[in-house]
Amino acid sequence: MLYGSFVDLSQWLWFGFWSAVIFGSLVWYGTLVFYVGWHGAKEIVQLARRMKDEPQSLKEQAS
Amino acid sequence: MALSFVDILIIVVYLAGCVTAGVWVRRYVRAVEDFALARREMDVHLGVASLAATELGVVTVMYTAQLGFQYGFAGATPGVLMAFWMFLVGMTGFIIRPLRAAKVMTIPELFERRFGKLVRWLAGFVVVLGGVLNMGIFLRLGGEFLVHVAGLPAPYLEWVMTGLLMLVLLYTTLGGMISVLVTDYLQFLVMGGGIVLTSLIVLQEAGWQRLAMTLLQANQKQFVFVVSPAEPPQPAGAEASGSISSTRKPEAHHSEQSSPPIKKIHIGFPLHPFGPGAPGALWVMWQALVALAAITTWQTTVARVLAARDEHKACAIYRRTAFYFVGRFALPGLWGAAACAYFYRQGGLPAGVDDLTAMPHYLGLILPAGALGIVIAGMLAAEMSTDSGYLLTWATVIYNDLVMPCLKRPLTPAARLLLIRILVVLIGVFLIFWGLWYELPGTAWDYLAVTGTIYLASLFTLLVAALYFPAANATGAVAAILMGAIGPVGFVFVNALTPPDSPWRISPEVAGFSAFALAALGMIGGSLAGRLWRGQPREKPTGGENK
Repeated sequence: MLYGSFVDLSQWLWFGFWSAVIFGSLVWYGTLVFYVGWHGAKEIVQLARRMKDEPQSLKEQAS
Repeated sequence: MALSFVDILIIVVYLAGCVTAGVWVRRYVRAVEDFALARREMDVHLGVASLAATELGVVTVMYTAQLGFQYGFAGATPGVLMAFWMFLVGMTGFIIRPLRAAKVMTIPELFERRFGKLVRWLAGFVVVLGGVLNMGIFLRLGGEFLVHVAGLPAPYLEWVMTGLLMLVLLYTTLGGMISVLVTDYLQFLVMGGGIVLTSLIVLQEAGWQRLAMTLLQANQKQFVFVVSPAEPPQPAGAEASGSISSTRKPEAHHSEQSSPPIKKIHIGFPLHPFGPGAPGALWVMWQALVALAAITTWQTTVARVLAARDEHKACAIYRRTAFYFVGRFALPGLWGAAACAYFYRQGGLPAGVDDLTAMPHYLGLILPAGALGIVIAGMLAAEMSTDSGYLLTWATVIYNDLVMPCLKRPLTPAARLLLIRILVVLIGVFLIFWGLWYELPGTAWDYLAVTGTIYLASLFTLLVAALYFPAANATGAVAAILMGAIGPVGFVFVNALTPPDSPWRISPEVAGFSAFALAALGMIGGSLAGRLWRGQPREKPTGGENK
C-alpha cells in the first residue's frame, strides 16, 4: 500500500504542506534565475554608468 | 576522483569568467564609499541576487542538509520561519527602514549617534569577534563538501580551499562591493541553476512519495545510523567499482569495526518538528528568535540594506528575497533527507561518513558526468559569493568602527581605500590559517556558538533600543552587551563542569533565550540606573529623522 504509513489526516496535511514548500521553492528558484538574471544584467549596466562619475567625497576634496 | 573532463571544463570556465568579471570592475572604485557600499547605487534585482548569493554558502547547504538528514522535511522549519520574518520586515520596514534612512555604513556607527563612541567600539568588537570567528567554519565545511562530492583525496581540502580564497581575495580586494555585486550576480545564476538541477536529479532518484514513506518508516522503526571511523585506503579496484564501501546493517557494521563508533544518529519524525524524535517546540521558538535577530542585525545581510538606493528599495529587496530563504533550507534539506533514505535502504552509512558529509557523499554517487560539474560550479559559486561578501563586510566594520574612531587625524581618501583593502587581505590570511590549516580543538566549536549568540542577542537588543526605545542610554547599552554575554558564557562553563547525562546541563536553546532576556534586562535596567545615577537625559530614538 503506497500511503500506508500516514496514520491520520494531520500527516497528510503536513505532507501536502512540504510538497507545496519543496515544489514551490523549485519553481521559485527556476523563475528567479531567469527573472533576476534579465533585470539584474540591466541594473549592472546602469550601475556602471552611474559609477563613472566622480564620487562625492572626492568632489568635496577637490573643491 | 569522480570528475570527468566535461566537469573540469565547466568548473574552469566558471572560475575564469567570475574572476575576470570581478577584477574588470575595479576601475569604478575611487573612494571608500565605492569600495564598501558601491556608492549606495544598488537597485532591487541586483540586491536580491547579491543577498541571496551571499546568504547561501556551502556551509548553509551543509548544515541545512544535515538538518534534513536528521529531521527530514521538518529540518526546513528554520527556513519557513526566516522567510516569514523576512517578508514581515520587508512589509513593515521594522528596523531596516530607519537603519537605511540613517545613512550609516555599519550598525555600530548608528550606535555612536545614540550611545556614544564607547558603545560603537564595543559593538564593533562584538560584531567582528562573532563574525570573523564564525566565518572560520565556512572554509572547512565548504572543503568537506567539495572533497566528498568530487571524490578528492582528503589532503586536497586545504589546498583547494586556499586556492579558492586567494581568487576571492583577488577580486574583493581590488573591486570591493562593486566586484562583490557583479560576481554575486554571476554566482546567483550558476548557483540557482545548480540547485534546481541537483534537486530534480535527487527527486528522480529518491521519488517524492517514496522518500516520505522511507523516512517515516525509518523513524517508526527507531533506526539508528552508527558513524564509524574512516577505513584504511581501499585497493584501487574496490574504489573503482563505485559501490558503497559498507552496505551492511549498522549493528553488523559496528561490530566488525576494530574501533568504537564515533556517534549514533537517530532519525527524527520527518513531517513536523513536534513529532517523536523531532527537535520540539522550544527549538522552533529558538529558531524563530534567531531568524528575526539574524535578518535584522547580521551585518552581511544588513550591508545590502545599507547599499540600497533608498529605504523603499531596501524593503523591496527583503520582500522579494523572503521566499528564497524557504528554498535555502528546503532544497538542501531535501538532498539531506534523500541521502538519509538512500543510506537507510543500503543498511547504514559508509565508514568515515556522518550526518554532515552524507549528503555530498550521496550526490557524488548519484550525479552523472556534466551535472556533477554544474553542481560543483554552483557550490563554488555559493562559497565564493559568501566569502567575498563576508570579507568585505567584516573589513568595513573593522575600518569604520574599530580603527577610524581611534584616529586623531582623518586619513586622505587614498589612504582610507588602501587601509580597507589591507584589512580585507589580513582577514583573508587569518581565515586561511584559523579556518583551514589550524586544527580547531573540540571545545572551540562551543566558543564559536557563544560568540555568535552574544552577537545576535546584544546587537538585536541595542538596535531595537536605539531605534524604538526613547529611554535607552549608554549605560543601558553597555549593560546589554555585558549581560548578553553571561548566558552563552555560563552555558560553556556549566556544561564543561557537568557530566554528559546530568540534568543540570544547559541546552543551547535555553542558553540562547537567556542571552536575549539578559541583554534586554541589561538595557532596561542599565538605562534606568544611568538616568538615576548620572542624570542622563531621555533621548530621541535614532532613525531617519536624525540623519
